[in-house]
Amino acid sequence: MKKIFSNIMKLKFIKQISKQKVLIVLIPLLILVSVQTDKFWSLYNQQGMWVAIAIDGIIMVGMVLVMITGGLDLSVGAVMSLSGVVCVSLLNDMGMPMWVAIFGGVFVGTLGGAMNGVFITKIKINPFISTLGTMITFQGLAMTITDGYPVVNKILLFSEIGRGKFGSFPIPAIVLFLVLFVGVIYLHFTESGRNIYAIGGNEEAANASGIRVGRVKFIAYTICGSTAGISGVILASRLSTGSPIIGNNSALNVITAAMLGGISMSGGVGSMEGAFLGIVTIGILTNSFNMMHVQAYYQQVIKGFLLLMVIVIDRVSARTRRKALERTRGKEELIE
Amino acid sequence: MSEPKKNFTQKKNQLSKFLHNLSGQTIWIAFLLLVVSVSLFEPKFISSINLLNVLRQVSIVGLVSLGMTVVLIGGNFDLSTGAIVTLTAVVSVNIGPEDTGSTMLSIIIPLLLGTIVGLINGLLVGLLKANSMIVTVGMQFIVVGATLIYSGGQHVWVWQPTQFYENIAGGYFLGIPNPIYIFLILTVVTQILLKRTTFGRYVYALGNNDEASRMMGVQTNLIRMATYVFSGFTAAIAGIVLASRVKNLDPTAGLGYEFLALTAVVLGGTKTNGGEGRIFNTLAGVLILGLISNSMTLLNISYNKQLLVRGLILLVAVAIDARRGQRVMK
Repeated sequence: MKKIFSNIMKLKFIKQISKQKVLIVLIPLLILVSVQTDKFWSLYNQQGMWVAIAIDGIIMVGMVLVMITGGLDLSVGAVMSLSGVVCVSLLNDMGMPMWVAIFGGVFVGTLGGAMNGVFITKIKINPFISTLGTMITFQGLAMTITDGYPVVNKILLFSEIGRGKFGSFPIPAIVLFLVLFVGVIYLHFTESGRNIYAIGGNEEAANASGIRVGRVKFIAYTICGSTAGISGVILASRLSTGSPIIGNNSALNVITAAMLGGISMSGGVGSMEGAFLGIVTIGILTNSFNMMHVQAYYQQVIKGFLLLMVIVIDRVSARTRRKALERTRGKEELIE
Repeated sequence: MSEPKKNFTQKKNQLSKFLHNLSGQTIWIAFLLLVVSVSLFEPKFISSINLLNVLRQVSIVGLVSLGMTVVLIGGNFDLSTGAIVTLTAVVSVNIGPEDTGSTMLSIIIPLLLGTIVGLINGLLVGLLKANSMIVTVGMQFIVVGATLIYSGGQHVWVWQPTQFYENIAGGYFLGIPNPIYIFLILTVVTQILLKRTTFGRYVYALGNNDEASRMMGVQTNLIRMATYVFSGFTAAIAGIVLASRVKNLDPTAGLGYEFLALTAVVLGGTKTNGGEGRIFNTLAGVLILGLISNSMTLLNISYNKQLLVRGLILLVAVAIDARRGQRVMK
């Protein structure tokens, strides 16, 4: 009985994956990259690529929650830098034990997310502009802590988090899958997770039907902050450095990936699986650019174009969704 | 019997009108208080050299925030302006304004570029109604990347600029630096544009209620596009002034201006949801920001801490904005 059930679950999962539109991009990209270079599938490259994916992917889990509520968090990059800086400073300058430093880094991220949550749900500032404000504030804070210089980690054991492997799986990738698992469970199997969709679909209706909108949103932003914190700690450990500017481009990367995976800017639509495929696509793209020796500046321009393209697709599909809705409504009225 | 009562209400109305007007000027009162307190703390501040310096410094941010005010009143954001300033400044210097012809080019081409970037922003936001913040952040990415490719990531400079090019930012007229005149003239132009033309009234209408103004026959898409074009144009002027002032630029020179301008505009009381805002108050916001950063520099506070303070000011400004919005709703 259990076996049948799990088989059904698997089928459903595969079906859901195969529905993702991002596969139209991902599969040709995979084929192209495999043909272009034989190094793509080498263990060494795969490990490196998955670590890079993991660092953005962990943030993506939080960002997806926030984006489904219809908001956005532009401050994740700054939170990431800040938590990395705090973690390395705690470990080296203050001589704290490693677990305190790691906990401290993640805690700072969570605190940053909670601050966003307060600004958005209590003071009711537009999420875009309030996370922009916190972004500059956190950046300034990270710069102030380190005086503008990166802080160097001297404790080898700490670097193992970002560089170590479990078998042949890099530890950051394992963390990514753990966080992703927790995120999927939260989004689909808990009440407050399902409420996130309701809020994104129609906030006033959600409020009217008794969902505590403010609380759910606050939780989403807090989770987003803590995922940025986790990612910041891992990146700091991988580089053995806490840099106050390391996360400057992360927010845009993560948002592009999530939108590529079918998360809509207007909220209420999309899934964690889709966003994950989106981030894998971006990861493979970056990896293949690096292997083809595309300059960083060109990569920046290409990523900007990718984001604009995804926005255009998002808007067009939102329009068709709305038109379809209007058409069905019209039919209902005719039947009546 | 009703006469005195009416008189009384009239008086009361006058009083409340006066109070209302006064509350509209809170920002200027804050500015004056700030000036007084800073000059008490630091007598060096009040010297005419320092004051002119502050004014010259703020004129570049001021130019950017003029366009930003117009975009914000129309209910959108423009975060690509800092990138436009960078692009136009780098292009302007790299053309090498060393004779009359190239001086003309190094003014006209940047202006065109700024306008074109604004136009693309406007197309995406105006026609597709995409979220303006994320569109312009994406555009910022593209423009910064393009600037870096164009300059090869290296500094650009000009050896012997013509006198005219030099004078754009370096010259004086009646003892006052030229950038201040450029800023003030454009402020007046923007004010006229917003208050005395149909375009301006449509921008306010658009910010207040997009749907209603569309139904009244306003071509909202076009107006929204035009606000972005204007913003790109003012950012390009700021870029040229910056280029003429520095003459040796690193290809990320203008980044951060968009945040400063946004802070100044929101500080000046322009509503982040659109529909409300005054150029005159933006001027006060710009001056306050300039004052704060000047006094922090005089007090020897490091750039990093100044960044932190800037972020906090933006947060406070948007919090005040949100509070006011709720009060109006009630």
